[in-house]
Amino acid sequence: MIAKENCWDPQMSTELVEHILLFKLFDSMIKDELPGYSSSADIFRINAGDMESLMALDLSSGLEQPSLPENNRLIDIICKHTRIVKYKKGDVIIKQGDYGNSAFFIASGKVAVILPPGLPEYQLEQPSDQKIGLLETVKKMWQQPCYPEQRGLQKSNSAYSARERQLHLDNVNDALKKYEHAELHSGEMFGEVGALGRTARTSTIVAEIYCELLEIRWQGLRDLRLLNSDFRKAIDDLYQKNSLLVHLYSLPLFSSLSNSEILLIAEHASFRTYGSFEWQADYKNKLESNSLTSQKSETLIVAEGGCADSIYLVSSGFARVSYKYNNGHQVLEYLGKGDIYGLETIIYNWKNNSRLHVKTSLYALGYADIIQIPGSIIERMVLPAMNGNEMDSYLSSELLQLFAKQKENSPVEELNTNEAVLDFMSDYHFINGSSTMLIDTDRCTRCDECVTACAVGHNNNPRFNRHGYRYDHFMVANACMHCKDPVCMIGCPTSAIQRNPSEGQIIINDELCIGCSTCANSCPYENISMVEARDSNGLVMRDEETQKPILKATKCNLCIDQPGGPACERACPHDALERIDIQDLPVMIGWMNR
Amino acid sequence: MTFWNRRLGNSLLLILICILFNGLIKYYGTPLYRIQLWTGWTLFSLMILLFLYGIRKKITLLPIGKVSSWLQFHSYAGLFSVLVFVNHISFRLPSGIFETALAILFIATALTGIAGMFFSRIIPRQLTRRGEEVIYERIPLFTFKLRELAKDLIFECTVQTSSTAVADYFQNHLALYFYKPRWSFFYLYGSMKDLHVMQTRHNNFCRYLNEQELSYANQLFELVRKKYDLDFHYTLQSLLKFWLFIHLPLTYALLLTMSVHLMLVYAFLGHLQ
Ligand code: SF4
Ligand code: SF4
Repeated sequence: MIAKENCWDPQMSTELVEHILLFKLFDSMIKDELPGYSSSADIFRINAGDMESLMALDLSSGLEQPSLPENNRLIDIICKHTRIVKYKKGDVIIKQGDYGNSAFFIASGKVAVILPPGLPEYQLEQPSDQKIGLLETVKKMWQQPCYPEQRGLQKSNSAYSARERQLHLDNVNDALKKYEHAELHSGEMFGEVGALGRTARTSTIVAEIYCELLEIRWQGLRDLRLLNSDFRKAIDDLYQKNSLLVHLYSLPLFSSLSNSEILLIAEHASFRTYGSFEWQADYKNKLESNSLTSQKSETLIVAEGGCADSIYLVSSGFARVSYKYNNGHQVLEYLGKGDIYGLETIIYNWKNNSRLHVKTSLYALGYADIIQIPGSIIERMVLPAMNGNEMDSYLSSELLQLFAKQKENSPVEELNTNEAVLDFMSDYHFINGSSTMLIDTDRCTRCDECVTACAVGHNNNPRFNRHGYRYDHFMVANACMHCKDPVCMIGCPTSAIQRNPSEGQIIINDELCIGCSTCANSCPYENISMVEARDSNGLVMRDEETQKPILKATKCNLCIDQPGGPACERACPHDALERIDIQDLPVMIGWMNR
Repeated sequence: MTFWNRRLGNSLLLILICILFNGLIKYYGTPLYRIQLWTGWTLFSLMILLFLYGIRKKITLLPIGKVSSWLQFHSYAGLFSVLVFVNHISFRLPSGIFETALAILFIATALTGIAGMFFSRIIPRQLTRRGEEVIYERIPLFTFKLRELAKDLIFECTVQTSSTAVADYFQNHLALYFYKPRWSFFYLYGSMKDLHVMQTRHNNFCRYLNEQELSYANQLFELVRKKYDLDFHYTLQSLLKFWLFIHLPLTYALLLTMSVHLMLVYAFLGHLQ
């Protein structure tokens, strides 16, 4: 049996494993290995001897992907990445907008998925316990350790568990009467969209009655997907179905439609993933071969000049809209989760009874989950209900101005700085950053006050490098950008690197980090450093068995525990440094053109 | 808000405060000693406020406003303090030795402050536009690397061409240049005279080389250029760092002397009244 200390839940027991194997999703795995049992329900009749052999199951012979880490037996995955969690009636299991790293199977009970627009914010207010107080801040400034990377000095504050800050709705019955919701029952699963898509939770989910759930970390889902093709298919189908529905519900474009109309649209919509979910390896290769700027190697979603017969919704990942410019492509804008492509052309054609073709191309940047909805459906169900102003807002888009420009046959103007910046940001995939560190080198006096401030906040260890790729006089410094699609989290075997549930920063739990360097190797922007941990005497800590130095992954945590927020930004005397969401173009361009 | 708007707003505010201040002095300060007490205390308070900026920079973690906002205040309050100062000394140099020393300290502190402001606006642009971005502390390491590259090149050239011409040239004219980071006044006003002198010397030398030697000599000159850019960064970044080492001690000295001056003034105030 797997060692207790390697289990997520220290109470991991035979009973728990039984529970888990009850799920329909595991049926095929069990049937393969224990022919005597035709379904997971038979586990009820399991005898002690078989239970033993079940616990020792090694499914590795059936592996389809030889790249799985060692010891990835079903039982290992279950012990390492799952636990049973219990919720009282009214407990909020998932809060819309929070970030979560796990999905849930319902073992018993019933949960309610609150449909958009969801519960009002005041009902979901959470106490914020992450910042340290002023006194503690002052103490921290005085107590700077003498050696770099000393450990065991202060309590780690990087791990936050949603369970420890349980939200509860007292009046759950009233709330459910008032707000539209869907019910999920025992045997069903939820939370896989946020967990697998590395995105924020799309709806609030509340326990309608007492519930027992199996929580499974996304690493567990990933490993199980690799282990068994039936499981993979089941999970992928669920992911596609749910993310499609969730996305349609969340779009303002469909806000006036009824439930049944949205379901009808979902029937006609198709879901497809373009590019690779683990795009970082490809990015690094391109960076090394200096071919980042070449559009050829990116996955085409819609070709310029094609027929405008659908709209495309980005459900996760990123895409770039570009048009041909001499022998290259000029980026017009980039799209992220929630953005729509192609709608303005459909509206234009519908309103003017014309047959304008698509004037731009859409490429997946890394990877993008795209929902395609036929234009005819939009024309039939959405456009007639749209008012004039709404339509005009789409028609006044930059894209249509481009159509007008091309109609007049005027030569394409020379690129201005702002357009070239878009090219740069999408070539290097910096659009992924929600808090990218931009430095205006025309104002930066190289005083390193920012680096010093960062060090003071992190026990004398700066967590970024004032160095990086530059476009003109703007530098994207080597500091964690707290990506919208954090690929660094993909391979972490212990879930040490995770999203802060409430604000979405990517944080590393130093205690859980085993120094395997997977995250540092996965980060496409090289913003994670592996350091040797030291004890209070300044000596490098070593593994007792191998005598190798103990490594820890470190990076910017956006000063998550500081009362004033990012210290680097506050410390710069010359307004040269800013943490910016690159997708927020008006803010970024505004900052650049100060 | 653009920087120009901010500058305009702050400047207008400063002008307004200066006008108000002068008006107040004219209105209230009939006896001379009273004006000076008034302006003296204003000046002293301003100095304390200006000094606080240095402390704010040290306590980076406390949420007490961005350092850049404090610097804005520091710069404009510093300019205002010049007006208060000239009013305090009634637009002429004081006569006593102590007072003269104090006045000189003030002027030096103000001038270094203004110079710092000027450097921090002008130099970053020059750094951005020349060579690669380089961290100051690493310049000696890069210099060492360049020197090693140059030596390897010379060695290879001597072996491949069986001639010591390029090696001799390096030894006579460039060895010292590659030895360590160089500080040069030329960089401060954007002159490239040094590089032109080296380029001319290089061109003259190249006339007497065969093709193989010429290729090595040209590669060597590429390294010379890189070293030149490194020195450029070294000089300008040194200036950005070290002007503070003049401004800061002056500030401490000024505050100390001002305090003594204040005590002396109060010691003699009864006599004046
Ligand atoms: S946000 Fe904080 S941790 Fe991140 S680079 Fe800035 S100072 Fe360092
Ligand atoms: S604090 Fe500001 S001016 Fe100083 S090095 Fe950092 S970004 Fe540049």
